[in-house]
Amino acid sequence: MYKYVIKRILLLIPVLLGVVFIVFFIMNLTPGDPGRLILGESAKQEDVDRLNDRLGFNKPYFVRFFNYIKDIVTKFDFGLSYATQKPVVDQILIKFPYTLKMAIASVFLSTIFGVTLGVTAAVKQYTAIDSSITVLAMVFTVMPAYWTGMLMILLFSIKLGWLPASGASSLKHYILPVLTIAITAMGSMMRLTRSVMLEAIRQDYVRTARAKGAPERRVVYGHALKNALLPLITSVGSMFGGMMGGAVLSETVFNIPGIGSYIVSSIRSKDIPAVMTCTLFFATLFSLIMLCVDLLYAFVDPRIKAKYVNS
Amino acid sequence: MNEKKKTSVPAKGKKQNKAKEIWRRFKKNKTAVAGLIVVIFFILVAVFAELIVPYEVALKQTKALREPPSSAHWFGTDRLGRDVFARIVHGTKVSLLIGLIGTAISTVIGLIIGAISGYYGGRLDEIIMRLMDMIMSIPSMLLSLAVVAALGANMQNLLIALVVGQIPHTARANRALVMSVSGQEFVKAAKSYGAGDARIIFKYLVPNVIGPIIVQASMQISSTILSAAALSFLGMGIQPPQPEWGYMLSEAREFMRTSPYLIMFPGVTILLLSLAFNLAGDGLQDAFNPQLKD
Amino acid sequence: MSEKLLEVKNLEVIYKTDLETVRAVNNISFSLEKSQTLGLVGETGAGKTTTALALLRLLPDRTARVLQGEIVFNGKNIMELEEKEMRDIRGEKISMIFQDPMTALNPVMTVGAQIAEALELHNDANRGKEAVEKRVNEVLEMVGIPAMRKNDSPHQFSGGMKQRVVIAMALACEPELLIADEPTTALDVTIQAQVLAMMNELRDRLQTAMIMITHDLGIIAETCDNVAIMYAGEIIEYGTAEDIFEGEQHHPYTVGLFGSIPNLEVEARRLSPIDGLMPDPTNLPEGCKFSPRCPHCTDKCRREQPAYYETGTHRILCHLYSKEESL
Repeated sequence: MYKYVIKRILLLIPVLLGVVFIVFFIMNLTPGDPGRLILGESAKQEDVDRLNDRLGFNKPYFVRFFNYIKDIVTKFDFGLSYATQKPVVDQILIKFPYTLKMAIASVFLSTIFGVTLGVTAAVKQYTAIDSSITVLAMVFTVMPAYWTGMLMILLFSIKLGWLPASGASSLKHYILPVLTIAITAMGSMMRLTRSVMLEAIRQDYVRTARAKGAPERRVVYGHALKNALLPLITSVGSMFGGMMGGAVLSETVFNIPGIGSYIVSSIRSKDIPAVMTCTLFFATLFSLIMLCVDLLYAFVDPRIKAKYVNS
Repeated sequence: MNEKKKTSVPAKGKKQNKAKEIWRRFKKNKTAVAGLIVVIFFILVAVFAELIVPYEVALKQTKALREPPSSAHWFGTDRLGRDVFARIVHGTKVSLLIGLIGTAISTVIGLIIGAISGYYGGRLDEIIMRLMDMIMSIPSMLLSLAVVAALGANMQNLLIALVVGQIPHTARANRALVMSVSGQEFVKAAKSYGAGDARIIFKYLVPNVIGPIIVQASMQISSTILSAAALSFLGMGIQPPQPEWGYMLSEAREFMRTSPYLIMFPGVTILLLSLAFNLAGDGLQDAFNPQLKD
Repeated sequence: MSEKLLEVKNLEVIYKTDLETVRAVNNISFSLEKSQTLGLVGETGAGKTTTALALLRLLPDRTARVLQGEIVFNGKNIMELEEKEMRDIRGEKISMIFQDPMTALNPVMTVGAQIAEALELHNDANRGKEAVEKRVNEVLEMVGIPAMRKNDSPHQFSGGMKQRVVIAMALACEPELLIADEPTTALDVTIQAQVLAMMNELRDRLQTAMIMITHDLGIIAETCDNVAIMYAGEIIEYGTAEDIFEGEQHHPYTVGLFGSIPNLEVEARRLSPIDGLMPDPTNLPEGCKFSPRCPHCTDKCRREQPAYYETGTHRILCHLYSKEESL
């Protein structure tokens, strides 16, 4: 088993190199020169040229790409932010905890409610409960996160005055942003759970469990849901990816100094090293999460475990 | 189910019957029909936008700043005194165009990539799929943001950004589809009597994957519309002064306290349109796969 | 006469959907005594599995309706039981072996856990964890699987072995009635014989009553005391194994059924299949349901539903014999 894990981690390296290449390529499409961006409009042209020279921006594309990789691998150097002239990595490490807290809380929230409601809908198929859950799920999935956020501010901060509308200085500040992110994810979780459960409760082994005299709760949660877990785990994993999009919007609406709002401001100011590093950071994080998801499979499904052990 | 697929290799006459049958099942689904009606309504609004209210009205700044809804301005006016109703009407065109064109492009490209990968398999498949994995490991919102940031914010680049973010997903889904069909007995049978690749692809694969692809695309339209609005909200999509729903919301943000109607109208409109596309797509899916219903 | 374990009276089950009504079981009655075996024979779609599921009250509740009938088990009409009381019967008093062992076991649970579940659900004796494990070992050994394999998952077993696990699970609580729904159909022929022999042996040892559902007359001959032959949701012939295999008079369908089995002793140029197909259960013919395919069909058959013609333990649902009577 551990052999498989090591193999998977090694396979991550070419994927991440590829990601660096793709992002590097995209960011290099940007017109304009970095020296000008760093020194500002009023700087003298010769200063700009000198800086470009020093930073190696006049070198060919592949040389720059190679140097970029070399700096990361040998010095863990992702470059300096154009805006602050400080290492981007430091910035990310300061900002990441905000985003991480929100992501974990909302994954937790949306999984618990999404799965419970989805299972309920599947078990009560063709009833009013099922149709209301289905409609609710669909509304949740299509609610634009930034709009949900604003509606919640309108209701809970402005009208009722219960919760703060911006900032991240206390636990209370996190409630609305987390809800905002969770709602979208909850919608898709509900829909997915419902459809995999509809399939699962029609399986023969579910009938076997009933024939054994198992109570309905046990049949649904112990037998059917346990089999439906596989696609659900995958989707919880990929939810983290979608959640980053949600975080960008939610952090913007609620003024939270996390990575999401950092990316937006970096993109606005064309701070290329910051954008690149954030993107890389998320790609790595996401790949690691998906690796964990794959490994989790083995605990849920013995058939997959057997495959891993044999490979 | 296998039986069904085998018999669905269509002759011309049968194809029409099949479409009729799907329409008959679709009609029975009330929420899906409601979704379709709303979609058609929005399309009509987009087509006849100029007749409903001239484009200049959407751009004209008046002295009536942030006035609540009235008979003169049905949805009120915004921070520059522009008529919100007119802006929403003309924003429809933008959102629909992006939703439809973006989905169409990413579906076609995704289909080509997925079909090549799924049909030929082997090394080529491996390379293509690894590449897709790489792109997919970047959260699509970030990828789109990065593309717009690099290329500059306008409608064309917004489309490119959205398509780039979606292609890996459509390619993957289409590959799975093509693989499941090309593993079916009737394809093996065709190969066994010597049908060439082109014949198999156009006579057997395409007719059998087209249904699921339509379903997939119809579900994707709403997410394309939503992503486009989100990018515009962040200032990375459609640029002012052109009216766009997401950007209208971002403009309205600072006046939330005093003029909450400014966030209500564009938000509800986005919700309504994407909900309608989703409902219709869901109905279409059920109509295509009746066996999933029971 | 020994006491009745199960008595089914006038059972009628339909499946109703928006589009159509399937008349799956039409007014059937039969009974079963303790430690006896009843064979339920018929083609696919004759209503055998529906009957079995009705006995456990496991019919899909959205579509299936029991229009009428009583199912009396140990003196109690189980149609009137609370769901909770019914659960105490399922798995403990009546258990069922399903047709396809490949899908009947939960793929993500070890086989030991699945057997233990049945025991824990009906733990009247208040067995501790160890006692349950011990019993799991016992039943596994009983069906010829080494107890050490209880921690394996279903995917590690072959089809025949899986069916043994299903049987072990069904017998774990020593039920009074075992319903076996085509238990060997999905297995290879050589494995079929093994599993069948094992089932017969266990039934005799545990004194379990059994309902054997099958379309294979050979299995019936080997295992059953009584036989009910089903056609289009009706029992068209019912009697002891002797009545069916050696009796003089038979329903034309039964005759056809026997005629379609190859027989080495009697030289025949070809098999004689029954012409035609089973009627569409959403649109059953008037009168006798076999009339469209019957070689002896008369006008009366097409008009009137036949009544049972009874001689001793033998019942036949056919106008052919009642006509003789009236002559």
